[in-house]
Amino acid sequence: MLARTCLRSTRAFASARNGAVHFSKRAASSSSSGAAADAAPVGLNVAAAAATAVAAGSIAWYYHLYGPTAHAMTPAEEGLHPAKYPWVHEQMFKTFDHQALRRGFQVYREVCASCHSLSRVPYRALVGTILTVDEAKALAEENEYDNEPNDEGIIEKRPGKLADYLPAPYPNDEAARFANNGALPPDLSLITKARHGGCNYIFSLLTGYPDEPPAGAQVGSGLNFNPYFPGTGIAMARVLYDGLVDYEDETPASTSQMAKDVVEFLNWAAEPEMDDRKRMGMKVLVCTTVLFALSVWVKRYKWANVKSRKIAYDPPKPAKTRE
Amino acid sequence: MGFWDTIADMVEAATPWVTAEAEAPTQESTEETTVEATKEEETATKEAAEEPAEEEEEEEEEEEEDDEDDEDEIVDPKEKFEEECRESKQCSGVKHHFDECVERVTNASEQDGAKEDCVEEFFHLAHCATQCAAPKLWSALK
Amino acid sequence: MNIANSGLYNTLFRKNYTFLGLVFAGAFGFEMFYDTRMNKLWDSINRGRQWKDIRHKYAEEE
Repeated sequence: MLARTCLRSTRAFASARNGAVHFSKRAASSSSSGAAADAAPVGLNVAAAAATAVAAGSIAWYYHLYGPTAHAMTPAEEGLHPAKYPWVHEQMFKTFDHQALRRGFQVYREVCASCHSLSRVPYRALVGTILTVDEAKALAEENEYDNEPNDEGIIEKRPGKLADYLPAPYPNDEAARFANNGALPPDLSLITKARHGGCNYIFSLLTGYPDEPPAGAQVGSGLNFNPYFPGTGIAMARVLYDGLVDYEDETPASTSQMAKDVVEFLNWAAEPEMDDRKRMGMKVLVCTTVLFALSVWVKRYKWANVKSRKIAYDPPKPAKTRE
Repeated sequence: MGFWDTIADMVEAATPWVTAEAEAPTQESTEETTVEATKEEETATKEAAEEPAEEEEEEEEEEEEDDEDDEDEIVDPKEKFEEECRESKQCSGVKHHFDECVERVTNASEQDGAKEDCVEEFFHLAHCATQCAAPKLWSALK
Repeated sequence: MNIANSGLYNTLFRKNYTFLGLVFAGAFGFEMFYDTRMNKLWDSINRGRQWKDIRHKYAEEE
């Protein structure tokens, strides 16, 4: 291919330089390409050598960059994809189960909150979805927050109120890393949106710790084996064990029950507007369905005349003058 | 779940001659429990009919479940269902591969250090087991 | 019946401001009707799941 391209270009140059000669040659011999190749053999050889050098050079460069070993992606690096669980609150027109949210909040408070912050959720958001006003106020007052500066410019502490946000377990990321062997427990406010797989992933992660890692698996020091975590080495140890919390509604607190509840709660924390959004969506869908049906009917009504008329071509009778 | 369930839900909710109940209403707790209990019995008998060999096992598990509610001894349903799934016919292939791999790797590590691990086989087994247990688990959890 | 001579036409449609008023009032009324109906439907789809269904367990009425 390359050679042929080169040939074509030399031929073009030749014709540009002395077209008259070329034409005469062409007239003399039927094979024009052979004649043109004879015109510049040195140039052709140089071009071929240069192309070979470039190709060999780029291969050498690639090898220099990436080396002799090929690193393919392993399933362990990708992490096990979670099974799809039939979450009721993920159905199109279903709200969160607020009883489950309440249980999930209890699990968060008693288990997760010692390491994970939930910094984007204020107490007021809990009112009317998970807690009553009195419960939320009582909960807020258990914690102290910075007050406005007083007359002397000193910032005193005051008990929390509904407008305050849930307190974080650590003052900053550095403190969190220091307390957890260098691993940073992520903020859980938006975690179901922030992780590929969402609710299924977090549920699987919480419940998926095997009793012992499979044979031959390498687990780094200070890490735990979890198939769902990309790389399989996760700093968080298994935290949910059967009967860890006592639910106020007497639900048996099995590991998976707690995980399910806390995941639903975290989904609420990430999408507190979901209930209203779905309700509005249902209204919109019903309304637009009716309007669409109406518009289809109107179109058919208006087009009925046009569609049902028949246009016939009635050719003029040939004049019978001759014959 | 999905689109047609939603439509069915809406139709059910809109028709005046049925009472649509998304979740068991809280007031009628006694009635609901009896209904659930009969349902459990039904499913149990069905399963027993399908697999007569495992009849006794099933019954034992039913008893265990009943114990759960009464005592503080809690068995995680996820563990239970996934164990059943791992032993089931559906996952026998991947389980066979996993067991074989474990055996091979442990033998190799005893001799001169294992060159491979069973993570991939474990993944396949776990995938099969969770996939199979997911719907059962959700019907068991609240 | 000729629609141009009917009472409906003369009272409501003839003057632009009455017609506009009718449109606005109709929209208002329909919105109220539609919203309450759909909210009822929503509550019956999600019975037992929403906060208002479980609130009575936790709220202390004073």
